[in-house]
Amino acid sequence: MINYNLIKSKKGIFSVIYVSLIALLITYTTYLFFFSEKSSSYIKVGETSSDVYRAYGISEKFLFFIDQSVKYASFDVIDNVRLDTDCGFKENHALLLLGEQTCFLDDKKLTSYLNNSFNTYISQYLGLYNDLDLKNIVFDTKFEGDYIIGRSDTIIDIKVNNVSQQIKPSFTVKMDFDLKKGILESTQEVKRLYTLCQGDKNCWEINKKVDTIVEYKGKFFIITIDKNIKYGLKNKKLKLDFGLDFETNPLFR
Amino acid sequence: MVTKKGQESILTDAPGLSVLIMLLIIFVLLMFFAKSSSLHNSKLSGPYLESYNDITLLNYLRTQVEIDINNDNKLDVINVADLISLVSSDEKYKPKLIEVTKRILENTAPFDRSGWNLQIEKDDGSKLIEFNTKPLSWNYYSSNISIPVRENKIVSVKLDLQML
Repeated sequence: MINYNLIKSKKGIFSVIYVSLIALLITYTTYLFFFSEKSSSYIKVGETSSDVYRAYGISEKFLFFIDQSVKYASFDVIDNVRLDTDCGFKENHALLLLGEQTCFLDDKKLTSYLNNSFNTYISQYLGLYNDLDLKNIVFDTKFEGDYIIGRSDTIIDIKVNNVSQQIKPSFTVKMDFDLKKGILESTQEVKRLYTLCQGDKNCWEINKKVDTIVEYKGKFFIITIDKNIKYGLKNKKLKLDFGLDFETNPLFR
Repeated sequence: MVTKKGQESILTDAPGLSVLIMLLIIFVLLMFFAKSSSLHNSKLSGPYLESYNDITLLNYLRTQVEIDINNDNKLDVINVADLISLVSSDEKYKPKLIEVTKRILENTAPFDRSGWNLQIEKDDGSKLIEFNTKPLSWNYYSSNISIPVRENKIVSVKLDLQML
C-alpha cells in the first residue's frame, strides 16, 4: 500500500518535476538542432569545389558531343563534296571547264570552300544538343595534313551555383588522310590532262592514270578519280568527280 | 517497517529514472533519424558522385573497340559512341554493342558488384538497347548524355550506377 504521507514529501515531488522539465527541454532543443531549417543542416565545406567538379562534368559532356559532331560533319563534307568552282555545275558535277573558261581550284579557294562546308554540316549536329545552346558556334577550320583543326571565338558559359566556367570550343581531329591535298592533286591531274589533250578523247585514254575514269558524253567529259582512300564509319571509298564542258570550246575535236 | 528515508528514495527516484531512460531512448532515436536525414540532404556527396558517374559514362563512350565493319577480315578501331551510331542505322552491329557494353561495365569496379542499368534511346523515344542487371536500391545515381549519330540525329545514353 502506498504511503501518501511519503509522496507528499516536498523533496521527492521537486525531483520528478525537475527531471521532467529537463527531459522536455533537452528533447525540444535536440529536435530543433536536427530538424529546424537552418544553414547548418547542410555541409558547406567543399561546396565550391563540388560545383567546380560539376561544371567540369557538364563541359566534358558537351566537348565530347562536339568531338563526335566534328567527326560526322567531316564525313558529311566528303560525302557531299560539291566543289564551288566559278564554272558551276552540270549534271551535279563541279565543272573545271566551261567552254573556254577554266576553273581549276587553288589552295585558298579550296580552303574557303572546305571551311564553309564544314561549318554548314557541324551546325546541323550542334543544333541538336539540348543542354546548352551550341548552334551558333562558328569554327575557323583548317585542314592541315591529316588533321582538321577548329577554333572558335564563341564563349560557352557554364554556371553551377556560384561557379562560372567559360570555354572557347576547339577541336583537333585526325582523318588518316589529307583531304585538301587529295582534292588539289585530283584537280591538278585533270588540269594536266586538259592541257595535254584538250578535247582529244584518244589522248585522254592514253595519258590518264589507272585511278582515273573518264566518261565521255559528247562534248561533256566526266572524270572520276579514285584516291584509294577510305573514310567514314563504314570505310567508304573517296572518289572525286569533275566535269569538263567543251560545248562552246573551239578546240574540241 | 522500512525507514521513511528509504521509502521516499524509491518512490521519487523511480519516475525520475524512467524519464531519464525515456529521454535516452528519444535521444538515440533522434540521433538515428538525424543521421539518415543528413545523408539525404548532404550537398557534398551528391554532386561528386554524379560527376563521377558522368565520367564513368564518358569513359564508356570513349572506349576504343575493334570491329570488322565491312566483313573484309580487317578490324577497324572505333569508339563505343561510333558503334552506337552504327547500331542506330543498322541493327546488325547490335550484338557487338551488347557484348562490348557488358565487357566494359561488368569490369568497372565497384559496379561489377553493386549493379548498373543502361538505356540507349533514339530521339523518337524508341530504345536501341536496354540493360537491367539488378534492381537498384534508393542510393543509385543516374547519368545522362546526348551523343550525335550519323544523318543529323541524336541518341540519349542513360546509365544508372548503384552506390555501395
